[in-house]
Parts: sequence; C-alpha cells; structure tokens
Amino acid sequence: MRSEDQEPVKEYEREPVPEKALLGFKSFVGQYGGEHIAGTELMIGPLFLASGAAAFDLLVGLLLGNLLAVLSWTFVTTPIATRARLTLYYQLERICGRRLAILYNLANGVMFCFLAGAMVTVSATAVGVWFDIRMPGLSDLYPNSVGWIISALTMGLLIAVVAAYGYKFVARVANLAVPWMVLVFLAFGVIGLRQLGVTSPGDFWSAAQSTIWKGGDPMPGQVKFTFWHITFFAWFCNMATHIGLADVSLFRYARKSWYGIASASGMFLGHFMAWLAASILYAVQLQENPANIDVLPGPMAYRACGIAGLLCVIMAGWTTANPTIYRAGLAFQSLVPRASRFRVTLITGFLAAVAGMFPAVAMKLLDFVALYGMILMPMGAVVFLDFWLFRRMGLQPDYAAAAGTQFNWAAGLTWFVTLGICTWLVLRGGVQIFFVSLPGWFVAAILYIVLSKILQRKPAPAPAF
Amino acid sequence: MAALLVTILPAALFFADRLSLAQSKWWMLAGAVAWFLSAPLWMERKVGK
Repeated sequence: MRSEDQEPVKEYEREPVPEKALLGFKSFVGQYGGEHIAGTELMIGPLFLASGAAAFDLLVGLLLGNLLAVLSWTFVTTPIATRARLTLYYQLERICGRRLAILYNLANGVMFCFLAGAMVTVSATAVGVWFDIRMPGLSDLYPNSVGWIISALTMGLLIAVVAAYGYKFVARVANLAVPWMVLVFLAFGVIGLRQLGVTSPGDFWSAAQSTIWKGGDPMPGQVKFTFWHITFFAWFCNMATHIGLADVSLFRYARKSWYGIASASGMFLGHFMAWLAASILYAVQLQENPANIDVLPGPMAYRACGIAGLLCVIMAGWTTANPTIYRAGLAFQSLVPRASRFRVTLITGFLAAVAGMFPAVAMKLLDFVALYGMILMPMGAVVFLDFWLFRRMGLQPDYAAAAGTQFNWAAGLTWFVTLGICTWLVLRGGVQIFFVSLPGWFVAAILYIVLSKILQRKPAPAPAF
Repeated sequence: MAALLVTILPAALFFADRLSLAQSKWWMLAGAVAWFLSAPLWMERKVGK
C-alpha cells in the first residue's frame, strides 16, 4: 500500500484558488464543527475545573471568548483569505523569504507534534481503562508506569502508521464519527448533571455554583483561572489559526468573506458544549472521591457512558491526531523536500507517540495552547500589516519576492524580538502567558513597520513576480 | 438518524429517571454500533445522488 495513493490532493499551493474551486458555507460549518470536537476538549474542560474556575466566570467567559474567536476569524482571517486566495505558507514565502517561511513551518511542525502527543495521551487513557493500567496524575510530567508507556506508545504508533498509510481513510472515519461524537459529548454532560443531582433545568444554576464550578483555589500545579483567563483562553487557544492567519489556507476556498462565521460551529459545539460537558464529568469524579484529582478522559467517559464513552475518547483523540500529524509531516517535509512524505509522516507520528508518553503536555495543556499561540502570532501580524497597510504607508508589500531575497530580516527580527519581549513579560513582567499575545501582537506590528522602513530605505528592485 | 437517536435518548431517559445508568450505557453502545454500520452506507448513497 503506497502512502502517496492515500494522500489528500494538495491544490493551488502556489497560485490563487480559482472561482471554480470555491466552496459553499456548509463545507466550513462541517469542517469547523468536526475539528473542534477533539480529544483535547476532554482535557481542557476538566482543567478549567482544576484551575478553580467559578460558574459565572466559566459560562460567561466561554461565551465571550468564543465570540471573540469567531469575530477574529470573520474580520481578521477571511477578509485576507478571500482576497488573496493564497495559502499562508506561500504568502509568508513572498513576504518573508523561503528560509524564514521554512523556520515558521518548523516551529509549527514542532508544536503540532506536541499537540498530537496530547491527543495520543487522551486516547491512551481509554486503553488504560480496558487493561487496568496505572495512569499519570494531574501533577505528573513523566510516565509513571510501564503499562502507561506501552499503552501510549502503542496508541501513538498505531495513529502514526495510519496517518502515514491511510490519511484519507481516517479522514472518512472522522466525517462519519463527528455527528455521533457530538451527541456522546452532549450525553456526557446530561448524564453527569443527573449524577450530580440535577433533576430539572431549574436546578442547573444552583448546582453549577455549589457543586460543579465552585471556584476557590486551583489544584496543585494549576494556575487560578478567573473570568479574564477563561475569556482570553477561549479567544486565543486558536490564535495561530485566526489572528495568526493559518486558516487563510482554509478560507481561501470560501466564496464570501462572512463565511468566517462558520467557525461558530466549532467554537460553540466544541469550545463551549464539549468543554462544559467534559468539565461536568470531572465534577462527578470529584464528588465521588475528592481525593481523586486525576484528569483522565478514559475513566471519566467510561463512568458516564460505558464502552461508547471509551470509543468516543479514542476516536476524538485519533481523528484529530491524524490531520495534526499529517500537517506536522508536511511542515517538516518542507525542510527536506526530496524525502518521502510517507517516511516523514511516520517519523513525525513516532515523535508524537513519544511525546504522548509524557503527560506533561496534556496535564499542562492550558499553558501549552497559550504558548503555541504566542509563538506563531507575530507572523500573523506581519502578514496582516503587509496585506492591508504597507502599500498605503509607501512600503513595498511582498518584500522578499520583490527583492529576490530568501530572508526578510525585518520580518525575522520582528518574530524573534516579539517572542523575546513576550517571554520577558511572562517571566519577569508579571503578564501571564494567557494574556501576553494581545500586547504581543501590537509589539510585532510596530516592530515590523519600523524595521521595514529601515530595511526599505533603498527601494526594492522591479518585482520578480 | 435512528442510530443517532439511540445514542442520545438513553442519556435523556437516564436524566428523567426512566432508565438506569447501566441500561443507558448498553443502549448507547447499541447506538454506536448501529451508527458506524449504517452511516457509511447512508453517506455513500448521499454521495451517489
């Protein structure tokens, strides 16, 4: 079985998407709805509870944060996507030069690997239930049993092999699984509420405040989550894709700019309903045994929905790990274009499997997701400014293409200096990582304008394209 | 569609105290099996049209 036969078709990688290839609104609703019912939702929901989130803060914070995310896709991502109709990678290459674009790809690939690792961890917790394996605790960073290592590695390697051999097959299974998974997540919440003593909708708010999301101190190793933490987390957890502009690669197929609203399907099904439902499962666990603070999706799902719950955990992890490993593989392959995509995907999957053995990423997922957004955000600012403002400011857009350079040092410095400043703000400046991407974006914007003015004091030669 | 109904209805019935948790789990498993057996055929038919 040759992997190339199963690879999805990559189209219009270095040219605008033509009119005939544009897609309708429903395609994006389905895509976003499916992508955000992932294994990681089963970690994030409980981690909010472990972080001491209170009921009002969580419910209203998630509503506001998810709304801001949808608005970001609608007003930041899709206007550029539907006008340029190019992939983010190609735009970065034209603006930043091939070498800097490759560096961006490398950073993205590494982060994808770790994210896929977290999804492997989630799926492995389901396997752990079947074989009664000792699984990691909330504060564990390293594997804590041989059984866990075998479970995570086996799950990870299976995912890796299928991602390398049969991407399309798993993508088809994912399409099948999504409607079912949405309902199982809903069932998690409904069953969990009943187990917590909620017998009617009228009981919900009182249970929410007194039993489920009581607030108070966070659990060991977790940061206290207030209203603003929750809002910014919900907004910025997909920073790389909306304000970071990675989803221009997706929305370049949209007929209209307002299709960004389709992201609401993912945000309110996945990042609202699924997070709350998973959080309720954790609350049930804590009520049964307050000493059991482990965040393990497998046992929680099994307690509520039996084998169907375990299947949902495995599928939720697998179906999202698959495209994540595939994308990471593509990113790494840009470093070695002659390497076989099959082999690169397999190696990438293996890295994700190893990462999945270490519970560190999964147990610190809230911090990891914030870090991911912070690392990739500056390049989103670079592309945004280049697209909307550079010509109006008398600066040359697509500078690398115009100047025939492989490395736009203004863009490169913008990225590295912004990251340096953001890191300083987090480590010394008293700004938590969940918030730093907001000032970081403005820092990147100002830096890129100033550095480009310096770089472009000499006019660029006639455009190469 | 019936399979999806069998997936969510047990949870609703458990909430309403009409079904035990153990029964709900078995029905949800039945719904999962029914969905994954029938949905590929239903989706193939949809694509064929």
